[in-house]
Amino acid sequence: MRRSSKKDDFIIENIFEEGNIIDDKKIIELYFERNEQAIKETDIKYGKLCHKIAYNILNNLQDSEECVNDTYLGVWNKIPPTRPDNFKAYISKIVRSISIDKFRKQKAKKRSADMVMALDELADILPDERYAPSRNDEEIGKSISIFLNKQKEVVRRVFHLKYFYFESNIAIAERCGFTERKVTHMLAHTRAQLKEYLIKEEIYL
Amino acid sequence: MNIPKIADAIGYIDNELITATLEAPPKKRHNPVMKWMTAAACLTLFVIAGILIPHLLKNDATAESKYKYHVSKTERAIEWPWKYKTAAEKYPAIKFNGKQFTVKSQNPIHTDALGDEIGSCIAEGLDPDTEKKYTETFEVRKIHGISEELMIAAGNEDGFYVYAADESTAPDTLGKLLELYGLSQNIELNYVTKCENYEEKEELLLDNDDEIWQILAGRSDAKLDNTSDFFERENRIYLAFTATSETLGVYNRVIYISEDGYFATNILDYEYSYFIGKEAAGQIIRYVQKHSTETKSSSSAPTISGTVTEIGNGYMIVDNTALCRNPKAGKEYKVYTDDIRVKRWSESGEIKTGDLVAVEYEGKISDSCEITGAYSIFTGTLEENDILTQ
Repeated sequence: MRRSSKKDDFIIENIFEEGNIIDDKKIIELYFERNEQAIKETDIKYGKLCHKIAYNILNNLQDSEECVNDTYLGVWNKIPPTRPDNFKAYISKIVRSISIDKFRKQKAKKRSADMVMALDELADILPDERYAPSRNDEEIGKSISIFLNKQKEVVRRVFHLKYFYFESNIAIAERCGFTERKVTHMLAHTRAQLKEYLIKEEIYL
Repeated sequence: MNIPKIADAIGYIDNELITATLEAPPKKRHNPVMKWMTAAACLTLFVIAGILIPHLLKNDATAESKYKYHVSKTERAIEWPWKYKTAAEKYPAIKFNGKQFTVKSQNPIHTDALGDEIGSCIAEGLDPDTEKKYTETFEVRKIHGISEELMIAAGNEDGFYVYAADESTAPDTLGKLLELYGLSQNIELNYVTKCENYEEKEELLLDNDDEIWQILAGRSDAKLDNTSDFFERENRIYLAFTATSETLGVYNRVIYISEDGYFATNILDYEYSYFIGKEAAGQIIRYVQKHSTETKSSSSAPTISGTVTEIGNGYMIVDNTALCRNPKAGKEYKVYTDDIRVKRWSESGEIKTGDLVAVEYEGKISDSCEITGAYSIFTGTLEENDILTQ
């Protein structure tokens, strides 16, 4: 049997956390100045978001904490020279990528059922390299962006919440004011359309 | 586990798309009556609210506004030790009359849905921890209104569970579907959503579904549509009835009636459609429009949430103060833990004093805040609404 985590403590702690939230540009300036306050400000502003993304993927407090710390370190090492235009998206992508890497190494028993299901659903669209030879992730990501930009705003939003942020269907339903059933159907439909699109674009072979 | 290539590729989608998702304001389920309410009516509402709110605060299910937080479920795939497993978990498949049946629902079926005894079977189970094999003799009973070729109830004095025959195909006509699964007696079509494409336009409550079943019975020759394996919602106007049935072992499934003349359902796990004709579908849609009243979504199971403050012999105390905006509005619930699906959490130490939990229950909460029908409990985290928006 698995032991229960202590995630509760951190969520409560973070919810009540207060600080003077500063502008992203100022945070980036702090990184450029190599001022360690940059990490503190990043944590104040995006700590909750990063923890949430990591936890959605990893379902484990300690692992999430490690991923968030690795994210801060990664950002510290990349800025400078990188100067991200959209710091929120930038940090979200990093924490997501680090957490997915950690998920790969996790033992099956530790994994979130929601996350496993989300990955199974994604595997139906494009499982592995064999189906998209000579295409890198960035290229495919761009095609997915083109596809999503053609969809209704709400369809796009539900898709992102599910497969970028790995929110549960229940949480998406709550957030969008839908029923869970509607979210499930909407995602199934978008996945089918995306697969068709990738086949048409000759990405999925 | 292999991460599909596309999961990594999604990490490269446009930045604007990623942040736009979070910046869109969270939506609450709309209520069209409220939408069109005039300012004068709103004023009246304030007066009424002044009278009603203290009353509503007494009711956990309706006092939504008093809670600042909710308990967000923590996914935990626990493989319970054999002694804590329900019969359905121990014996997910059984053989009866030479046919294989698989358990359809983890919830036991109420005895009043059980029909005559039709035999017995030897259930075989394997404890994955010790790799020890167990057998148990199950009594097999018919389920009211359902063909024993398709579904049976099997169990013992501790409870009976619904088992469905493997490899049973969808009936080729609507009449057979209605008859074999006793749909008119096993499913109540009282909660319905009016939809256009993927949009849910209106949520309605229907008092009596007899007329609908009669209309459907009149189209019993409607053929199974083999041309599509799912009900396409795009470019369609349709009703979506919530289909929950303990006897069929289904929860929150759906029955669609579309304006273009289809009856479709996923109660048999896959989606099947029958063409009942535009006239019959139109009759059902008009009937629902005429005889239903608007309602709010309420198809989820009744739940209470809070912090476990005490675990006693056969009960636990759950205090919801941590969820409330005003700590004085908090309440203590005494949850009886006689159901093994609840008891095993406290007995095994998986739930301890201080944990945040949500408890699903059947029946009502007594005036003294006691809950006798708890059948499910899970741990979670205290989460403010919309953590992603910051």
